[in-house]
Amino acid sequence: MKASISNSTPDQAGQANEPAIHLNAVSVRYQLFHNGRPQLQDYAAALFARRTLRREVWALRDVTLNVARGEVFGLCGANGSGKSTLLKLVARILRPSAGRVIVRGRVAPLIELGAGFQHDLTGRENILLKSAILGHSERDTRSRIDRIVDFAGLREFIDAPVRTYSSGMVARLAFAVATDIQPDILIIDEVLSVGDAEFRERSEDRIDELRRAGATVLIVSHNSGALRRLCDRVAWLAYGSLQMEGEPAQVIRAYEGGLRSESPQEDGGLAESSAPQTVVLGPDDTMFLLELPGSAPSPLVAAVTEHFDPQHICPLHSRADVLTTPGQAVAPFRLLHGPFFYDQAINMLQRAAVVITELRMPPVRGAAPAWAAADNPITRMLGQRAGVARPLPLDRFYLEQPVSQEDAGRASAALDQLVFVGLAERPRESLLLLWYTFGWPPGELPRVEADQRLPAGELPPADSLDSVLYTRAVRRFTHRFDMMAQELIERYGGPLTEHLEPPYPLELLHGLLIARHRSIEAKARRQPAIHFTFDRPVPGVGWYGIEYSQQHGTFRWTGPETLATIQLPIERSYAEQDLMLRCRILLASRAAVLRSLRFTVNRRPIAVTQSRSWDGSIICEGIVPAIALAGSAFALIALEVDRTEVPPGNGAVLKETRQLGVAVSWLELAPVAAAEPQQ
Amino acid sequence: MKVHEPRAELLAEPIVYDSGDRRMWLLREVRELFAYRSLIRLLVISQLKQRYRRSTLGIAWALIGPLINTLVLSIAFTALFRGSIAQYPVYVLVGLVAWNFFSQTSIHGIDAAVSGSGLLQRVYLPRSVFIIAALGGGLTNLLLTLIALLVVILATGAPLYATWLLLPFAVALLVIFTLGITLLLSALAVFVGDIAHMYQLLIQALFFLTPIVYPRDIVPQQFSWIVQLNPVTELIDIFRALLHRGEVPAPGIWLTTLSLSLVVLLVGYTLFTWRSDEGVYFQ
Repeated sequence: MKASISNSTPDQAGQANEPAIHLNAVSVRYQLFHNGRPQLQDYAAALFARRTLRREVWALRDVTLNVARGEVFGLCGANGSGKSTLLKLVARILRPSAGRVIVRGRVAPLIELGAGFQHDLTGRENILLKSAILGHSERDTRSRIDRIVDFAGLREFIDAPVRTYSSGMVARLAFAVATDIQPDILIIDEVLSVGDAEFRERSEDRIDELRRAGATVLIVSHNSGALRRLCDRVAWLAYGSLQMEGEPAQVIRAYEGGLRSESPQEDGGLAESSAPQTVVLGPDDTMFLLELPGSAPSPLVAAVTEHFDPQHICPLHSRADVLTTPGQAVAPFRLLHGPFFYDQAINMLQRAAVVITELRMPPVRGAAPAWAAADNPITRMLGQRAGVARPLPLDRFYLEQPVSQEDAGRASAALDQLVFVGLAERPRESLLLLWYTFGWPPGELPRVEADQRLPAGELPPADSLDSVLYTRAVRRFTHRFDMMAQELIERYGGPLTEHLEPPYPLELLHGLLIARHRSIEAKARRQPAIHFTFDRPVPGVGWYGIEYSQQHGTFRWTGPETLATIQLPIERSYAEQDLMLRCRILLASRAAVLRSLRFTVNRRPIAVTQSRSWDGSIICEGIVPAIALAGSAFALIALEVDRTEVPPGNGAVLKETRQLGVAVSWLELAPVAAAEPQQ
Repeated sequence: MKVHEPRAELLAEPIVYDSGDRRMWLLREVRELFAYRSLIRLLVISQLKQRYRRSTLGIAWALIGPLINTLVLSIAFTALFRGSIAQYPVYVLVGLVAWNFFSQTSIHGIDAAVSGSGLLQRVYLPRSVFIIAALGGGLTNLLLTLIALLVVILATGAPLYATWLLLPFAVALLVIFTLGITLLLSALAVFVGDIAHMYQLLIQALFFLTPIVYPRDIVPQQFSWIVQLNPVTELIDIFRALLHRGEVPAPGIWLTTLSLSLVVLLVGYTLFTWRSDEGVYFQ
């Protein structure tokens, strides 16, 4: 309501260097009521029984972003990471609870396409309504209505009530209305996976057209291939804060690295509900172990270092050269290991995919001399992880004084982003959770006693940053530990463990953890997938040569024959189970050719579904029954179309004179079980 | 598949949205509502269509309803109030014109605001657009009932005063007051779902606590404060002065009702904006 749309002078808004979208330290807080719309008795209950009526959820925290004019900007992140909230801010649907949003230009939101349709009205009336909802005048819409109807391809149905339409038809109509006028900014929220293949093709063309005409594009997508190909820049959001922003390939790699550790959450990332994470370290991933200052070697630190080649451990405090030239020297090291209050830690943190630490009760930690440093870098580090430009205003005195709720919240959010936080006072539990998190083979559970050096002085006040962080860490740790214990008991426990409640006997959990590890290992051995990329010679017939385009990467066309085959060796165990066949089609000479595409494996037809995202790649998926491969050492996979065609000559993408079928980039054969999401 | 260029005026005036700029927010909301006038028009039309759908006489019911009401009330009460009220049918219908606008618009507006809040979470619209549309529908009805009033005046041979010309001012007052109440209650209705039901009961009670079918002075002394405090009484009395008695109300009356209405509007609007800006949502 207090939102402003103002017409500034042309040269004020027309400056090319002003970003089209500017978010400055933006936070969004939702207030959620527990049971939907509250009734009077709920208020009474809140009053008398002191039940809380609502809770606050931060969907975005301190996000600062600039999107330049004409740029294609992508957002990636798990569900609930705040992507859609960010889009809604730009579309003016939400106002920031803090910070500032500036959007320069007319926005066409391709989010919630169907919003506002009235199913009793005709298609024509709905065009007027939807267009009015987008802020266009009726007279203007009437002059464009024929064009909209034609694009949607709904001429014969336009005077029928929309309730008679299929969902695809509604989506087509909505898309046609929303994109009929060239916008300055186009907001896309993966809405284009609806409608038939032909319409999707046309809508992609239109988006491309709008983009080339100068529209700034903001895309949210779970399809990292699409983001990588289309975007000039990509930002990664997790738990409502900005993790990284920059060159698409780099950000997406970091995101996918973190994806395995990020648990999707509906409530915007409250630690209370966070499940224990499991993290698989890739060969290029760097882990950063933030060690406690002045602590004796803990079993946790020993367990971490055990999993790395001594050559690949870089102790920060002994490698001054690494610290001064962080770019080059860090590269060979898989594990960075050091106290977390060094200035240079900040640089390391941004590069490391996985950050873990172990916290200790504040009084003990506070005694370490490093905390006396005036410019305490942990605060800066936490600030940076939380996406805050400025360091948190923190010094030695500040640690013992009450912090503002905002700063405490920010620091807690930063803590939440660490992949693993152990507790020095609970070494055995910490070890179990560490093994669980990284899937490392569980070692001996040491007989160490908790390190209970009691505070020499008084405890710091409960609302000092140190106490806030530690309390948060304990809550989070306890929750994750319990979740882990439940999972272990449910999946690997027997009848004896059924009614077990906390506190769980640690020896038992250790045994279950070993059982889990054995089962994971057994599964991993049994289920390798065959992944064939078409950038090498194809053992089969009917293929053209390797082609490469910036937009699509490496691929091969089929044609001019209607049949193309590829023969892949399969493992013996494959012949005993159903397999999942997946294949990525980048292009087709005609939509009709694509529609006619059929797959056979060892001459047995395979029912395949085609799913397409708006970047143009189609994923074909189908189950290959075990019987198709029985007694065979090879899978003969055939792609068959009913005809091959010369692509339409005026197309912007293809300038082909050959008879082509479809262009394929990879093909995959894997056990069905392996294709299922891991638990 | 040529996408058309934006219209010339859009090119000339770059649109800049700045969430941090809160100057002149009331003016901006008015400007936004003006930009969305096509939507408001469509909403008003669909609202009227919905109300008179499936009836042969259609919108004529907006005319017939008050006429029948007046007829029934006149038959029932003319004898009773013969001494105290001249032209009883006109008296009662003028009251009904103002009352119906107030009660129907506010009930409908609260409803529209609550049911429209879902859409507001999915697309951008000026936040008060549904309430304004309800107001538009109410105004259309008001115009039609005024026609009914003219019919009654002509039929009963009652005088047609020149003070009719001041009617727009009275309507403006009523609109401001109604809008304020609607915004206020819509904001509350989001927090307490019962508000809408409670309000409907309250409106029914208020109908009898407002001198609409009876004259103001028959209220017993000890209860007259209720009628006095009822803000609608004074607003209806301004309508009566202009259309029934042919008087121009004293400046003091204009001033007090105007300031009261403005206060209600400001409070209602502030609460409504605060609520929608705070991001209060349900899951």
